[in-house]
Amino acid sequence: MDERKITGHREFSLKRFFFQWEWMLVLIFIIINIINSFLSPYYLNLRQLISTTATFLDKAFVVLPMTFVILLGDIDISVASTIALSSVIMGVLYNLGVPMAAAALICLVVSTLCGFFNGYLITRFKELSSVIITLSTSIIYRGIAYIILEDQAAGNFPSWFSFLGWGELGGIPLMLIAFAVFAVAFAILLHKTTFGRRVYAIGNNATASRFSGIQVDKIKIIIFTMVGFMCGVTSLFLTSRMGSTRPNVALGYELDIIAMVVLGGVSTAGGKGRIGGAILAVFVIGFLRYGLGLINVPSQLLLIIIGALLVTAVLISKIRMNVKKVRTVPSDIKQ
Amino acid sequence: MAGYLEMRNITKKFSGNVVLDNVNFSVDKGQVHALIGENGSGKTTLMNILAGLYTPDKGEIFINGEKVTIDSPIKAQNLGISMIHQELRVFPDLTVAENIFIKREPLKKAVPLPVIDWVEAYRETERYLKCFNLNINPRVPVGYLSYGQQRFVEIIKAISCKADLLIMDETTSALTEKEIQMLFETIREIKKLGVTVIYITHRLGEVKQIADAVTVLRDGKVVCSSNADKMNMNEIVQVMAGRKIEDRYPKIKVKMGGEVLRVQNLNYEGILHNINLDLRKGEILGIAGLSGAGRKTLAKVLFGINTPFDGTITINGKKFNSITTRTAMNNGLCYVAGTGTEESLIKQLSVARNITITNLKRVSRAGLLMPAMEAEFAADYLERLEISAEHDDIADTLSGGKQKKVALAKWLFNNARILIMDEPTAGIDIGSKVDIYNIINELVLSGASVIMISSDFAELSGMCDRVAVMYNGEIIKILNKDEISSEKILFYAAGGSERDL
Amino acid sequence: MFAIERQSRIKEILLKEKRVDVIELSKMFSVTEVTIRRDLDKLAREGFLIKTYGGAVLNKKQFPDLTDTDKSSQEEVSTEKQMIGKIASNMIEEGDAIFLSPGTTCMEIARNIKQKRLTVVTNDILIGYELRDYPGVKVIVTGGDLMHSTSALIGGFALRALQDIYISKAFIGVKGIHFNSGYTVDRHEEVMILGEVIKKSREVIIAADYTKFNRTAFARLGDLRIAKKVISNKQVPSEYKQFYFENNIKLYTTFEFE
Repeated sequence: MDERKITGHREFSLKRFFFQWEWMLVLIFIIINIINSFLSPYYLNLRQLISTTATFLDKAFVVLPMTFVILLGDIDISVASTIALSSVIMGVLYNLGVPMAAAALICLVVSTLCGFFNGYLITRFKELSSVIITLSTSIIYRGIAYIILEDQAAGNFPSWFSFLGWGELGGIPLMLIAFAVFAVAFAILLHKTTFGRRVYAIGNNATASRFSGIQVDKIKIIIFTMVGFMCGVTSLFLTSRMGSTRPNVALGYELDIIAMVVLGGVSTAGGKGRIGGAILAVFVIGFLRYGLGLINVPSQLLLIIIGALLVTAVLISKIRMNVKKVRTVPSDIKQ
Repeated sequence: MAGYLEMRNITKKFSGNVVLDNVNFSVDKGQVHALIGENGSGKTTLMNILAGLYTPDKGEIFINGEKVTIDSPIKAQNLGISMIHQELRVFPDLTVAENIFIKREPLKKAVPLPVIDWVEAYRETERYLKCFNLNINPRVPVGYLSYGQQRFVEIIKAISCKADLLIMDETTSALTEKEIQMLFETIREIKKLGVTVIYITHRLGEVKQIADAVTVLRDGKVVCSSNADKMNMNEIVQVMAGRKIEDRYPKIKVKMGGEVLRVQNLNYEGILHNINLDLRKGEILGIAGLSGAGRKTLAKVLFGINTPFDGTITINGKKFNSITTRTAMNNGLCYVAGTGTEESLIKQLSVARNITITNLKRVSRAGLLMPAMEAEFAADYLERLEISAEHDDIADTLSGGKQKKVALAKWLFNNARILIMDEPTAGIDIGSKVDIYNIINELVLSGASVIMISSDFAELSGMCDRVAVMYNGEIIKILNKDEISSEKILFYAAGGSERDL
Repeated sequence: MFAIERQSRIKEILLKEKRVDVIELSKMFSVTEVTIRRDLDKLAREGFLIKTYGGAVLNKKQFPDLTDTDKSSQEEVSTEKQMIGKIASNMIEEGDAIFLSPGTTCMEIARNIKQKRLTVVTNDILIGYELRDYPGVKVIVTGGDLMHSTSALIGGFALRALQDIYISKAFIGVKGIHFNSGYTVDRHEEVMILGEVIKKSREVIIAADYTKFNRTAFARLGDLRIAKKVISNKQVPSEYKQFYFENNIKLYTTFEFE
């Protein structure tokens, strides 16, 4: 045994390192920035670029826990509605005279409960897929938001609240800082803890995980609850930036969020992908939007480009999988 | 009319494994011919060839003396061959009549367009249902019927095809005693119509009741074929089991300690009935039975996967009326699932991750994983169990024998004291097999207890201190060390009872 | 805390408690269980303890003081041989008359049967000496010519001693096991004695650690089929495992758990 190498990881291989999807994303990211700076003379301005992140980071908070959901092989399409519902409740409560801080707290509580409810339903009714369940709750949450506010808006938030979405610390948007903190926390949770290990186990083979004593349902509920909580965080930042709220805020966010996770190389079949990819994908799509916006590319074209990227991501991950299959020779044949 | 169906020199291989080896099989017209054999003896494969699902590598099939090639299920249907498979194949959302007439619905004669004549279909269905004394509404979706009733819908579907030859594969396996008798009544009825029936079973009791002739398969070969009245149960068991090979198993006598597990009056969802069982420290208890006898269900109930159950389970003196996987594990009980199933290893993950998954606390500090520690542990277990693999090899790339050992290692890592092992040596090379037996020895020597579920009756005879034989969800016999033999196990597993001896 | 310190602490605990538990020790010293197991391995090699599943117990035979007489010939006994001794002792029943052939492997068997009631026949003077203090064990040493620089007795006297006895289980240590040459030992004089023992025994059990496989020593004892039971280690080459299994020979191998 002494001759056997005992290390935590496989030997470092440059080839394998660069073969990762994350590097493709970095490459795409660089290309986008180069093209953008050619197309628009206003693009390459570091200060400007950094403060731009605040325009697309609101969704990014949900991308983090959504990565966990997709790793499990599930999906949550109720996130946009959760954001809307918690935002609307916060706005209405504030307008009814509840202190802003308390309203914000309730916003987080409501969204967390929404997430928990999703998780509970998904584990309770196993014969229904998470798509169906979160589609239904999506309609319910958004419906409640409409009942509360109808077609009105709520707002007039105190000025300190708008600092959340617009404020900067040393030239760096508060949102970017907050996102960095959450990103690190979720990355550690997924890649360094026993919890994250269990998520990968379930995503690869839920049956074997259950037969190994992993409490699959408990972990699912925790993850969906996390999604809910992060929806609340998004809701805070988004409402702060908009200054008011309506029942139709964050419309279509769920698709953007899921797209970012998938573009980040996380397999919808579950079990494969890393959070770093999803984080990179946030910036790829964000800067793509920003750059193309500067040169007045119509938003429909933008959608087509993002769609194309997504298809490429899925195809490439499929091709890589096939290559791997051919490459893996059972170890006893090798000997 | 003799020699209605003849299969000559049928050979079939699956990826190098000979499943059928020069099988000759012939059936007379209007006969009920029982085809029996242990799990994996090739019964179903032979019949699947007849039904056009597989083509044989070698051999010929004759019907009424004419040579035929059956290369598709449609071809088989045209030849009047109809098969009822082991697992239900009905459409639960369609009605009884829709199921029976699927893909060959009666058409309205008056209309030139292909319009389905549902009036005719329902009338026809009602006629069949009445004929078999079944009180079922033909307009009810099949999913609402009981399992037994669904079976009868399948049978009617097969008969209504105007089949000359009906193949029934383990049709009785989940039926109640009453339903079985009804089924036999049905078989006798259709026999009168001149239909030939091939009846696959591993229940010897049924053979006596219904069959005119018997063919026994063992390891893909016909070992015996004759009229049913000429054979007795004992003879059939003898030829099914084959040679005596129990001497090669390295069993160690271990001084047994106190009781570690007791199961009392356990019932589960109508699948397990009144199970009573006890296990002592250092004991190897075998659980035998043919497929569908409920062995794995019992294991899963004990391990807290299948819940809830009636009755009590006592582990190390602690009484439980309900069990979760967690409580089972915390009390040292584990289920080493068969590696052929989805339940065992997470094939896409590394060996180390598979081993440590049962107890991540041991390789983490405050929830943070320690990769170096994990690798060290994994390498240690690989060495101890003589698995030549690296800790970061992906589990799927390992050979079957190594995978079995890894599946065992992951439970040793959690300090298992009562191990329920599902088919611990099925499909692995002999070297690994011998290793597994010795690992089991070492386990019981160090005071652990093993429950061994196996279809290899020689292995059970060789390794176990006692063998509990299951049949139809019940333990019908517990054999003590001095009475264990492959023949005895097979006898009881096939539904034999004391008075048949 | 250094490994040495830790090991001496483990020794102290063992002497006091007579047994230790891997998990408890790892908590006590806040080191991994693997580390503790290594410590126990080392102490086991020193003969201080015997490893068990989950821990270790004090090696009692170490403390009825071993005199100088056998220290000279005492090779370092590997864990493999110790485990073989443990397995073999589980095959021996009360009232058996067993034979132990000369060598360290059979010495390990002797060390594991002291608490039983049985008769031991041996042509190894050290094995005889090892068993001197145990009232349940009746020891018969054959007599004969002492083979130079070993503890084995050979020759006509030894042979004569075997004449009128019958043995239920003969444990024979060999020096080589090979498909072609069968079981082999170092000297043909030994073969004469062992051949007689095999004739007189109801059951012949070969005990040899894994290093003996695919090796051939000088004198041939017989074909691989002469024994119906073989005790060895997990490292036995796979082709031998297969051969034994297919020839209805029980192969017992040792696996060590914590």
